Amino acid sequence: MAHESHAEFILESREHLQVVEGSLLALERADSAQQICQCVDASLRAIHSLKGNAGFLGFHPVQQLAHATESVLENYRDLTVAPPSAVVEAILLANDRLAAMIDDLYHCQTQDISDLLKKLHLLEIEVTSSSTHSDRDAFHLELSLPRAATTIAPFFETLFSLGSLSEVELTAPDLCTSVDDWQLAETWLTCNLQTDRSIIEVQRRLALSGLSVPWSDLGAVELAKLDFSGIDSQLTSGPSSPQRGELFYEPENLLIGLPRPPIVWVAKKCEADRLQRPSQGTQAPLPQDATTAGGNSLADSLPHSLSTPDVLPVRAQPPTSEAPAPAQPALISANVLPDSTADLTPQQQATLAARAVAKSASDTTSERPSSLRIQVDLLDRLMNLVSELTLVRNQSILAFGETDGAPQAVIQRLNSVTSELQDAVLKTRMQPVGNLFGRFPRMVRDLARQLGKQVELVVVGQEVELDKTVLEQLSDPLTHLIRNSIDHGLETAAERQKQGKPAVGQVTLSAMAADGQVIIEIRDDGRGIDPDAVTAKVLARGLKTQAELQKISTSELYSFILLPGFSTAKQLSDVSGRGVGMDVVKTNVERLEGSLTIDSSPGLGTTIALRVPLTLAIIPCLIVTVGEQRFAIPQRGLEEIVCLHPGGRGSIEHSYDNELFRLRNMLLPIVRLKAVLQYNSPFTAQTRSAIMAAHAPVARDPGLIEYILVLRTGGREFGLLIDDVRGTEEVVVKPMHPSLRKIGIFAGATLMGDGHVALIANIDGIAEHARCYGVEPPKATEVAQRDPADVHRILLFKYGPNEQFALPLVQVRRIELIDMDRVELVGDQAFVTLDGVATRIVQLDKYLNVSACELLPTMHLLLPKFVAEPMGILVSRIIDTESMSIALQEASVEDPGLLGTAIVRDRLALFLDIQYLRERLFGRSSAEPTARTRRSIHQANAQHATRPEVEIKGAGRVLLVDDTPFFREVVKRYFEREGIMVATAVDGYDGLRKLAEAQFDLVVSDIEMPNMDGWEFCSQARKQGYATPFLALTSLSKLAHATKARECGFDGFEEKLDHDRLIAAVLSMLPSHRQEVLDA
Amino acid sequence: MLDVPTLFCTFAASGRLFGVPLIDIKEVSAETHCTPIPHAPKHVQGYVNIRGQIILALDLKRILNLPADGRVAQRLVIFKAKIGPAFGLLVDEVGEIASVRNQDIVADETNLDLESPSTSGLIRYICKLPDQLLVVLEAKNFLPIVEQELHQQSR
Repeated sequence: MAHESHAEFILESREHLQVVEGSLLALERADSAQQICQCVDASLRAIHSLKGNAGFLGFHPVQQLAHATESVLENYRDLTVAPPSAVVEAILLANDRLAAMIDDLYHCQTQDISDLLKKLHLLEIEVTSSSTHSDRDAFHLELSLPRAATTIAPFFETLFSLGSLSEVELTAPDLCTSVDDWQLAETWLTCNLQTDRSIIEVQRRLALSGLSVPWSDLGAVELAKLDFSGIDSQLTSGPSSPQRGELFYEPENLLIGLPRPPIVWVAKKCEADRLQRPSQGTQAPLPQDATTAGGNSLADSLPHSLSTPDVLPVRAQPPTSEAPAPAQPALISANVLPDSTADLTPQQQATLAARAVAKSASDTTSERPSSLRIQVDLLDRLMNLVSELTLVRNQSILAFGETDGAPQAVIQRLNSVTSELQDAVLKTRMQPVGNLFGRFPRMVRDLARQLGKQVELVVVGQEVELDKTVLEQLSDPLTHLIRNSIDHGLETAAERQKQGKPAVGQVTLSAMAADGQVIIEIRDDGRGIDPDAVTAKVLARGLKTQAELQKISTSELYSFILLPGFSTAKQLSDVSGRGVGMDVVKTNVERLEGSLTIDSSPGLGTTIALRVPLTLAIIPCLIVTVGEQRFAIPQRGLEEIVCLHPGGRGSIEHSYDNELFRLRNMLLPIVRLKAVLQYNSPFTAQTRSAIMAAHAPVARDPGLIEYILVLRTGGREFGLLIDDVRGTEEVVVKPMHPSLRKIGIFAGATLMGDGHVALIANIDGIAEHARCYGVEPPKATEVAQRDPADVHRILLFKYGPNEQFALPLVQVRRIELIDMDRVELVGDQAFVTLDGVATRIVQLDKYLNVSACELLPTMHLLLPKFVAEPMGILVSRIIDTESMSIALQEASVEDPGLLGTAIVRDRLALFLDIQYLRERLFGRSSAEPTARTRRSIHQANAQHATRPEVEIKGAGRVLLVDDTPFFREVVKRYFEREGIMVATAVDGYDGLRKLAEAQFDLVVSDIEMPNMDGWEFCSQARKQGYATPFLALTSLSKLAHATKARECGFDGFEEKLDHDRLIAAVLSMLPSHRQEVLDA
Repeated sequence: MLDVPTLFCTFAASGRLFGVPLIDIKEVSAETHCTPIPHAPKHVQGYVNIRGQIILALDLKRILNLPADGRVAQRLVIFKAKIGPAFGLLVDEVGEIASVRNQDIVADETNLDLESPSTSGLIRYICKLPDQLLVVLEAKNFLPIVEQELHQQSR
């Protein structure tokens, strides 16, 4: 496994680095040539092995840095002198960086080590050149400074490392009066370089430091221009030469732009206020008094350019005995850095100390790692402490709960800080999936080579974060899946080209966060899974019969490949095909409480999607009680909760040896949590009969309220009977005590708000213990086989004792429980205050010919959607919700307040017309501000009273196209009430036919329809030359589809059941209405 | 060799004196609110929350088959991790720290109860204190007993 070899590499590398460090430190103490040799050899061996390993595993930055270190050390292998401490220090620095990279191996590719590499490279040349050249040349350099601040630093660093500089001068040749112009001008640097390098080397080295512009003439280098934008330079025009202004820099100012102070000081010191162009002949030498004047000396700052590039200026006395050439005090040698501090003056030691401080300070800013490795134990401890803090908070709330004032405010604060702290601690466990994904490119590359295929890996969503433990457990499944994709999924380049695909196969690995889970997809554009091969294999292994196979969906068929030993690969390869991998994948994903789906189209590719929770440390749970004890039930497997209460329908019934509950069409086996807790060995027939005897249906206390949690495990459902539901909570999972791991019914424990421990139930374990295998829930696909557009979720409720009412859930905003005591009467109107708004209560028997209400102390109030006015329909009992296809029968009950009736659960259900009720209560909606409004009310009312055939003249003719009878009816009514003549069509084809038959002023069309959808319908109509305005009517999101609607030729876009907006839109699009507005 | 006295933490259960070497003790807590763990052996009293850490509390009286005297455990003696992960013993009360010279510590040869072999191995030795005997427990054998019991139960 790649991962394991990485772990080994990390361990090994740390050992090597320790060896290097140890030998280097020993080297500094070594006093004999033999010792030095030994130390150098030991370091070299260790660093060489490290380099080899890193190269083998593809950690190139580590390899590069190790190589550079090795090269430097190599120079001292055969010398009998110890490397100078500058070299040792540089190597140690490299060593530290190597250690950091190895600690954070998967990010090492992103580390910028160019600075270190350069430094080591300089050192390497230093050694070689110093041993070959001994004479020193002096060059006069005339350079144009680079403009970009980023290139300045390395440039100066290189320059200083070459040798000693003198007569440094900084000038701008063409100075104009404004700062802006000046910034465009070039800045020149002239200096004398005393060095032992050849001119060629100097040229090469200066060009090496990232300067792309070639040398111009001898000794002069043309560089990129210097960016002085950050420098607040003072610009003065010299009186003698107005065209050639002169400038001087404040040292502090120049510091901002120039990493190297020396030039500045020279410039300032050499001439009190002016710097002159070199062409004028007045060179500005670096005089001795520049250093003695108490300013910073060049000599003090330069030598350290090698080892401490970011050294800050330090004030110090000028060097005395160490000054290399007293006659030329400004001549600086890079070798003045003493190897030992022993013979330094106290001031110099202080200086060095100050530098050390400065260096470490600069280290923290420039090299501070963005991440930190922390022991998981420590995180767990933090987590414990946070939970303890939560307890203290809860106790404080209890203790001070009654008092007001100051303590309250403090507790509020404590409360919020605690919550934030908890969130933050939880976040520490999260890691980006990039950490895991990062290892796959190499694996893919190697596999592709091994299999002779061309593969491109696309990685998406690396930044998505996952809990560390989840991430670790995903490693194996993903490895298997990617291998499978490349081995089985992708074809060879030749095959692909034959099929007209690009030769390079693509594997996409993507991560996406979605509602508390992370979806990881592995998608390839290969040959896909052959359903026939899977079918053949399933039949061959006798897993299903031919008849059974015909019933199952393709994705179910594909899920067979997850079974152990199930491989459709014709031949085994080294990589995969043994039918073990997918089983591993499935087991691992399930252990993570995740799920896996396979989607494939033959010839086009396969997509495998894993859904895993963000974290295993915190899971949302339902807190329930049995007797006095609380338990947490993970919500992942929870399908629904059924309340068994005295007034409710349904109870637990007995079959031969099972307790069952009728849940819709399902006979749900019931497991009593209390019994599971009571019997500590797995249920037997005796246990069952004992439990059933204790809970005979006839002996049931009629007043007892219990709950059934409908739980899903392994695709099957069972009901868990509990006493009470306390609510939901996100609990921090702590594992069971190691000695109690054998107890299968619990998954762990957690701390509750009151500081006590609650146990987390293991749903699978409970089902297993109770020997309950559940029932297969009705297939969602069976429902979906009906026309999905026709299936609605219907809320069934009662008002009077006789009728059953129904309302599509899309029309329900929410349901409130109201105390009838709180209802206030104004005349014959009833109101209740909800959210501070007096809400009108609709008593259905006042508006419809239905039985009077069964008055209970507490009633439900059903608040409809798409109604601007505050109104609620009084409901005595909510029966249930039902997914069904509504086949409205219009004529069965004559009542204007009803849209129609339908048979639901063998009973007649009356579908309410909310807009009618609303108009009866409030009159016409305020959304129609035209003069016509009042007339329409009369018209509408007249209509409703007699319900005549549509006989309105001239108000407009609308073609309504909708495949759903229910919506067709609802919308048609909306229109008719406005006096609009409505013709209907059931789909696009029908719509086109109707358009051809008659003249319409407006077409209102649904989008999602069978046969021909709304988009197609409108496009076709436009192609055939119909200019009638088209209004799209849909439940689709408006924003996402508005553009498409316009492209297809729609003139408007409205939501289906939003009555007010729809009517306003329709009226504005009708010609007669527009005319009326003009009249008014 | 110097006779360095051994320090024992002493505690009482059903009126008898027990002890464990002081160096094995992590802390003694007054928090004894247990959440019972269904299916756990009878030795297990439940989980106790000690400052955010969940500790498995064992009932000393049940383990040693001591008579129930109606007294409620007042203290939880929690052991260091080297003795066993996150567990403690519920005792009636904690007494003084006893300093016992080596010569007063004798191996326990009386505990030859063949009928309850599970409890043998729980007694380490006996200390002869001036006024009474101190029974020193072998704390690291407590959790294995719980596991053994659980194993038998699940068969």
